[in-house]
Amino acid sequence: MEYITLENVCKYYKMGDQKIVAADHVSFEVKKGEFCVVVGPSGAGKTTLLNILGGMDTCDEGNVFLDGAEISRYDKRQLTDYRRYDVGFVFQFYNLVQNLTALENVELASEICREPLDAAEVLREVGLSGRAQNFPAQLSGGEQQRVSIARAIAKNPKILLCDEPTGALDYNTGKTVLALLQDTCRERGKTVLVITHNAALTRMADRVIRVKNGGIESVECCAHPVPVSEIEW
Amino acid sequence: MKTYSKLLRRSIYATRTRFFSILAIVAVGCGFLAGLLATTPDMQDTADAYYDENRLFDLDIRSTLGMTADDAEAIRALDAVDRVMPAYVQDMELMCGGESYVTRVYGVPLERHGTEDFLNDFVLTEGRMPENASECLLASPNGYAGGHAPGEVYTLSDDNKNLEDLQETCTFDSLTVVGLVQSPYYISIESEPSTVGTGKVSLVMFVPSDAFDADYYTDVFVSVTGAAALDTFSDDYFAQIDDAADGLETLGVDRCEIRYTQVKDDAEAELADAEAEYADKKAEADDELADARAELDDAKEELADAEQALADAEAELDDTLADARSDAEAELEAELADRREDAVRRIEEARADAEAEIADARAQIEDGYAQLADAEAELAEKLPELEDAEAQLRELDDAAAAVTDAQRAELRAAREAFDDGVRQIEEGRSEIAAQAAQLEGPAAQLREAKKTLEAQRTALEEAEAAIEAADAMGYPVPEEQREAVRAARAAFDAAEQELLAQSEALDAAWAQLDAARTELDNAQLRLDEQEPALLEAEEQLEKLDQALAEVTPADRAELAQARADYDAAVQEVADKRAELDDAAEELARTEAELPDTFAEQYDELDRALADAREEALAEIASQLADAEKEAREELEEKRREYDDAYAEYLDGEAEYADGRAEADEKLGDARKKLDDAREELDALEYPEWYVTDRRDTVSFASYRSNSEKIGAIARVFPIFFFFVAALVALTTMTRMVEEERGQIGALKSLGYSDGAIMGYYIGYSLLASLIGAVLGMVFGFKLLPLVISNAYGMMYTLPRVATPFRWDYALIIAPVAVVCTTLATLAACLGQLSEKTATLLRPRAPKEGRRIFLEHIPFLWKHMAFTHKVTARNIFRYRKRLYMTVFGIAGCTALLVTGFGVRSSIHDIVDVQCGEIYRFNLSVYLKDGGELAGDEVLNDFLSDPQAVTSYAAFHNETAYVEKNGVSGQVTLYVPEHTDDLKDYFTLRTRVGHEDIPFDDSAVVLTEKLCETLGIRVGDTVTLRDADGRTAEVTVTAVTESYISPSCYISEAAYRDAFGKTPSYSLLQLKIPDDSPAARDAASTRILASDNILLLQYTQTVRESFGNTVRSIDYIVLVLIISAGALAVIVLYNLTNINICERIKELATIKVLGFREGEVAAYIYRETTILCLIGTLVGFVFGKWLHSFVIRTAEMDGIMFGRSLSGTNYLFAALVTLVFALLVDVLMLGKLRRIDMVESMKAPE
Repeated sequence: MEYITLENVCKYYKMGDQKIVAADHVSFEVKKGEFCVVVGPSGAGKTTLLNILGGMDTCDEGNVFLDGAEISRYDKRQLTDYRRYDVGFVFQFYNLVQNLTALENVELASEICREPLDAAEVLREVGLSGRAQNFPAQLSGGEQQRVSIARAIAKNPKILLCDEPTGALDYNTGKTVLALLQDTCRERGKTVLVITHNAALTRMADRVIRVKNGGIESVECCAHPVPVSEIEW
Repeated sequence: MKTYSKLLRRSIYATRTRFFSILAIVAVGCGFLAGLLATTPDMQDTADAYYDENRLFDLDIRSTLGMTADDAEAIRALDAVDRVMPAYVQDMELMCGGESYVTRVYGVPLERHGTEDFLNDFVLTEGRMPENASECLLASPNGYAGGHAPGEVYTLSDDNKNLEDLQETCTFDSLTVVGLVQSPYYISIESEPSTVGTGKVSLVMFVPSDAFDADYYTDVFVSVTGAAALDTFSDDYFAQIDDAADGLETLGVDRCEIRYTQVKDDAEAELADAEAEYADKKAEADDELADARAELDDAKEELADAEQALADAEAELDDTLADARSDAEAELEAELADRREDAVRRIEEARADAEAEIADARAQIEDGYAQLADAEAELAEKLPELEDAEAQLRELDDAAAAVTDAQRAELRAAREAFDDGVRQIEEGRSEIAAQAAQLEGPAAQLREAKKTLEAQRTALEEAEAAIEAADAMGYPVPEEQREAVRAARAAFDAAEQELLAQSEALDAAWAQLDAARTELDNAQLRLDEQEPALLEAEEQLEKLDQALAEVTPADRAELAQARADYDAAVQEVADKRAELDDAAEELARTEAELPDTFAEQYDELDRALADAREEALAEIASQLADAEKEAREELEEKRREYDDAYAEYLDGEAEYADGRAEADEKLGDARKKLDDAREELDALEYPEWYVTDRRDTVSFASYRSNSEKIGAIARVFPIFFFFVAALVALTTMTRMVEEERGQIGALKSLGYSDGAIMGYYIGYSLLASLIGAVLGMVFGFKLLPLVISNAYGMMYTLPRVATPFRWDYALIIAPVAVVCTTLATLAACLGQLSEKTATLLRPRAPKEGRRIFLEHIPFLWKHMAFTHKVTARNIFRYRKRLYMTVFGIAGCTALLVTGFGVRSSIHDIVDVQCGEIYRFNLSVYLKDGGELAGDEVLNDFLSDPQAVTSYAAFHNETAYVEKNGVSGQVTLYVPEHTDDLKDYFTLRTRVGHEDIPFDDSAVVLTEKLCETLGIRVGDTVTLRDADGRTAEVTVTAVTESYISPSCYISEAAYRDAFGKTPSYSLLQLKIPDDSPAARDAASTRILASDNILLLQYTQTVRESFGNTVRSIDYIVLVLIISAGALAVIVLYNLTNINICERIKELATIKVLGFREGEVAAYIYRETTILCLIGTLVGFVFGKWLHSFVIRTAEMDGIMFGRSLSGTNYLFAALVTLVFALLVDVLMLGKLRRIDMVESMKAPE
């Protein structure tokens, strides 16, 4: 069994009398240390997968495994611990706490973990040591997203889940952020899942999972991913 | 506009929590304001209506000389007077079921009950109206004396000090309760004072007018024209009443003159009549007595004569009787002498005859003795012969008797043993012979064997000798021969040995036989020795038996007969001699007795004569006694007649003395009465009218002050609510406007004007606050007055309080509330609308994080967990919310501090004043000019150590203190002994409790007074006494005191100031037992004195305050509830906004893995800190508010405690925090429901 395994995961939502299928027998696997991109159009079920994988939601059918543990069986409390210790989350809109400085935002996450990395060090690594004492409002979008990534890395999680990390960023900034994610994957050996609707990003991935209408369209493995700097879109 | 209202409706539905929070805070604010404001008028209106309905008097006129019907008519004639009801009111002690009640009895025209002319009407709650003068209605004040029912019978108590007057006035013997009533006059549980019994009225009764027989009325109750239409608690009412009272007082001057003249003239006339009557009666009595004296003197003379006559008669009688007795006795003596002579002669003749007879008898006895001597001699001769025969026989019998049967048997046994021995010896001998014969055979054989052996021996010796000889010769002897010889030798030796053995055995047998034979011989020898003795014994026995056989039974009988005969003869002789001896003795006795016999006869004679004399003398005495008795009886009769006459005379004297005394007493009494009446008439004081009104009754005054106190408190609190309501509206609306920023932008871009957009938000808040105000007032007007007046219901009996919706108040409250919130909304809108449309359409830039001052204190900041840092930054980030929360919570805490504080302020002063400052238990006020010196009743009581521990006298008067033209009323206390004062009043400063000295120059004022007039220690103030004299004094100290404004001044200072001598008419007492029973007992004893004006127990003052405190508890409860409502609404609102605004942040930290508790703490830490700050601020507000309320609520002359205790603060803080906790718990669910998906959403 691979590092991340989804088997026949289904998720339904009820809207009035209608039952909407958000995930329809989704199955895929991701190896440890892979940079995986989940791609698909809006409403294809990407976020549902992310929620389930991130421990924010539960699936109605199927099994989800991470590093041998079956997440789909966790109760509410175990899910909280799962999020706390095993998952690093990077949001589209950064979701920094406005009232905390960059450094404090990183500490916010690292303080609740078991073996966190040094917040200031991580911040230095993402190239923001100079802005550590700035509040989010004083940072640019890319800087904020880097703080957000630093916050995720500092937790020293098993996987890094990124929800449209470049969605709110301009082209160049987006690239820097993606490079940072790719470096994190390569240098730290973290498993990174990036969810995006931008198909261009598939070229930098070790594994590409295409989602459509709640189901898996295809899973491709690339033997030679391209560095971000070489990708254009 | 249709779309607009649709938008409004939807918006309200969508944000209903927000809508309701505005609505609720406005409702709470308006409700409490309305309720608290309405309570005083509601309570007062209720009482006013009750008074009007029952026509409670407006004025009560009393005169020191009583009022007449004419007075009443004159009063009725005044324009200001509407109706008049004269009444006879009397306090008395009545007994029922063994208990004594101080009862105020109203003699009123009950037949007019329910009509307009009947003032002080009442509500009959049970039973019926009285039908005659011995039935009554009972109105126990507020029903608190409790448990009274129709059917009870009350009688006058013997304890009444004016019992005689009462019995004269009251036409009833007893009063039967036929109905219970509630009277508006007596609504309070506090009792009206009385000068009777325990000093307070405990029952009130209404009886028909004819229950009292009096020619005047005590009271005239008046209703003032137009007064009923006015609110009895209003100044207008009092102004009108005061006017009317002035008019009445003016009238009173004239009426008093008339009354005085009338009373005086009547009394003079009455007195003159009485004097005349007295003179008549006196003359009459004197005449009568003089006649009686003369009569008595005559009688006395007559009696003296009679007494003399009696004494003469008695002397004569004694002489006559003595003569008669001596004659009769002489005659008797002569007759007795003759009788004695005859008797002596007869006795001497009889003596001569007796002596002759004795001589004959002696001769006969001498003959008898001679015959006897002969017979005795004859017998003596026969005796030896008889004795010999008897001796022989006795000897024989003795021997026979000596040989007993045992001896005989022994002898026989000896004989048998002897014979046996002989036989055995014979047998032994024969046996020995047999054995010897047996031995003879073997002996012969043995002898034969010996012979053979001897033969053999010879042969053998020969053979041997042959061999020896051969050897010696040297012949060879063949070995065979030698062997044969040796064998023969051996056989021979053996045979010889055997023969030897046999020979020995035989010798032994022979020896045995010889021994046996010897033994037998010995035995034979012993037997032979025994034989002669045995034979002798047998012989003797045989001889004896033979002699016995010779004596026959006939011989024995003959001998026995001879002895018997002899004995009989001897006996006969002895008998005869005894007979003779007796006769001789008899004779000798007779002879000896002879002189005695005659002496006896002489004695008898003398006795007989003496008896005869005695008898005769008795007869003489008896005859004389009869005669004397008769004479004496006759005399006695006369004596009795005399005694009767004398007794009659004495009676006459006594009667005379009685008559005299009676006449004197009657006349004396009459004189005294006349003198008294004269004195009374001379002392008749000029009457005065006292006009009192409702304010002078305890019930009204207490109800008025209590209801007004609430009004004072009501004016303060709601300001807070309005302030907080405005803050709530401001923050809520600001939040709303911010949330709908995009919508505002869109509307603006569509061309809506600012006014129209603002109108939407104003409409929103207007609707919320209007509905809230109306709802709040509906509940406020109805509920609060009910709750508070229920609290007072314990103290007052009144109809259920009326709680109308007061439009006048509502029309002020609602607009104020609506305006407040609308202004807040306006402020919130203006902020947003001033922005450009384009800016509005873009999402609002997130509010920047900002550094706060704490970060510049690295020491603190570095040591804070950054969750705490977030909290700290957040607190300072949203200032509006900070203020709202802090003010809301501060308001809550302040209300609570005030509530608890007010309660303890009032509660504590009672304890301090009555427990620490007043150190006496009882104040006794003496009547004007009352003197303790001559009052035995009071002195008895005061010197009873069981009843009174100690007491001191004070001068006491009402005076005024003036400073800078402002004056205040004070009670002056001047101690009789300067040192006593501090034993009865504690003088000390309120703050720090420093002792204040009291010496000859001391002038000490109480604190409240000084505060009001701005007086400080060392100031010179003007003292003005009741008569208007003024004096300048320097204040030496200001002392702690809460209740009555007082001035403690030393006697010296008082004299200096006013130049008059104080009269010590106030006694302050310490009593050992302060229980209710002991107090009643003490009152009864003290009030037995006529000198008493008023009694006041410190404990009673304390209890009366205690009642007030109880009702304040309810107000505190109202405050707690309102404070709670405030805290809950404010905190709920704050938390709600906090969560809504930061929902994304919360969702994010949830995604980051914060646990539920951590998420809650993230928000609640902020609320908690704000609460704590709010509480601290509330302490400050509370202190201020408390002092404000206390000063407002303080009544004239009363000072409440000014300080707050730690517990007040502690309780306030605890209750606040409990409310905060409640909100936190309420909001937990909302926090739990935050969806993490929110974190994915784009910023607003």
